[in-house]
Amino acid sequence: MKLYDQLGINLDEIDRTLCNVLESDSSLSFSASSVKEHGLSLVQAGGKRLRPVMAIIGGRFGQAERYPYVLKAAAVLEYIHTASLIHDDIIDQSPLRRGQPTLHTLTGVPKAVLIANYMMARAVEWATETPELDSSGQARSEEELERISSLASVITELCLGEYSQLRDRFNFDLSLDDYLAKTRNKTALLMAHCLKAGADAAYADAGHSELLFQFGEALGMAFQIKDDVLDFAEKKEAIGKPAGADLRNGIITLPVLYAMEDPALRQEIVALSAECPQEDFDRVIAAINGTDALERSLKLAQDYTDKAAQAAERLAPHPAAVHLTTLIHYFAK
Amino acid sequence: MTAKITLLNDTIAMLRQHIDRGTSIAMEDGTMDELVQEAVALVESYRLAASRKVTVLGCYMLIRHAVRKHRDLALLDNEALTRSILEGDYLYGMLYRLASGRKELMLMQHLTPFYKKLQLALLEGQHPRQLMAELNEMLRLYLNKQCA
Repeated sequence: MKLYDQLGINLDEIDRTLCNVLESDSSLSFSASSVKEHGLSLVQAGGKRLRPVMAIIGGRFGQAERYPYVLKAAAVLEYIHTASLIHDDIIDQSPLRRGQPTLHTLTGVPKAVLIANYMMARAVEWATETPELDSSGQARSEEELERISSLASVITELCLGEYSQLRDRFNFDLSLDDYLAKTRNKTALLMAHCLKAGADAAYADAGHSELLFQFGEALGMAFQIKDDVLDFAEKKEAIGKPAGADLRNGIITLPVLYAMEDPALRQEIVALSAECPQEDFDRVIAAINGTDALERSLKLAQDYTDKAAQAAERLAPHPAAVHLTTLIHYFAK
Repeated sequence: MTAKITLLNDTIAMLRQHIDRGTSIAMEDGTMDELVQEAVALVESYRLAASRKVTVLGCYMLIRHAVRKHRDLALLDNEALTRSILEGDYLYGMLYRLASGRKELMLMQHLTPFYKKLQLALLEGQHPRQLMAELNEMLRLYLNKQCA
């Protein structure tokens, strides 16, 4: 059973909303129709819609009648995520995403960069352009604008995670704190913001909203650490790239940090560079797999999952807290 | 003249203060560009609180810099390309951080549609200089509305 089914979330409605963001843009003239085509194709490529799902779950801690605003926040976050994936694919020189050619391979890099920018800006414009009235019939409040603006500023945090990754390529002096800070910016904060954005849009209690942020952050940390472990543990066929792809690209993840505690293995690891032949990486990756580094990494991921569970427990008196347990089970798989 | 220089310096100092050191983004003052000079003179000429002038000019400069970073792409050097993409994204995200942090939300709402149209215009091959001149016009419209 899919996550959205388990949570009783209408995926079609999310998809329709996401398509509407582009389809309702009157600026997309005939000459720019390829932009709409590419944009819709990216949006319709789907994925698990984890971010909108999390925003909607956050929204369930607030007022049900605020659902349209929750959906709006969810759409903005999904667009930011999609646009950042377009830029990530260029940076990583990835030819495929979910088995389909990446946008820059179809349009060239400069156009792909601009299309991603367009998508981000359009989502924010869409979320702030609809004339909406509050209960007293007043036009859109500054508070609504502030909420959307804060969401859009999440882009800076995503960039900081990518900057650290770029700066620390083949930096074997990376500390555990540096790794955790990068992981937080790259993955965990967006998940935290999704839950909080939904809660805030639905006028949830501020204390609940803060706890949801903590929950999302902890869950996001666990999710990324497990992803880093999978990169070592899974075979090429399973994840579509060679085992240890991160290390081959100079990205130092938690299993590498733990493996370097063995002085002999450390010497082999720090000798790696972008110029080394793949056989050197194959040997080191096999050696890392032979240590307890993956197991220890999973233990830290579990610690973060436990932290998420603690936050969920504090929210337990609220009926919507049951959905957080579903999220924990889903991410623990 | 002194007031304009002060406004520009204060704006750049404010932006540098807000930009995370981890990005290594250098905010050049752009004083050689006549459109920037025109924008500084424009903002300075309106009756607004000094801190609002700094915010408005700051948002203007963020858009200019973000656009430039995404225009100057070193396609054959992946590290330089990565930096340009990240810097452009970061500066664009800063626009929202600044607008919400310094309560200039109507400016955010005013500039977002322009930034979007600018991307479409660049995709259609329009010249950036012409588009930057339009940005100055957008700034003027906003200031007129705010100071009416």
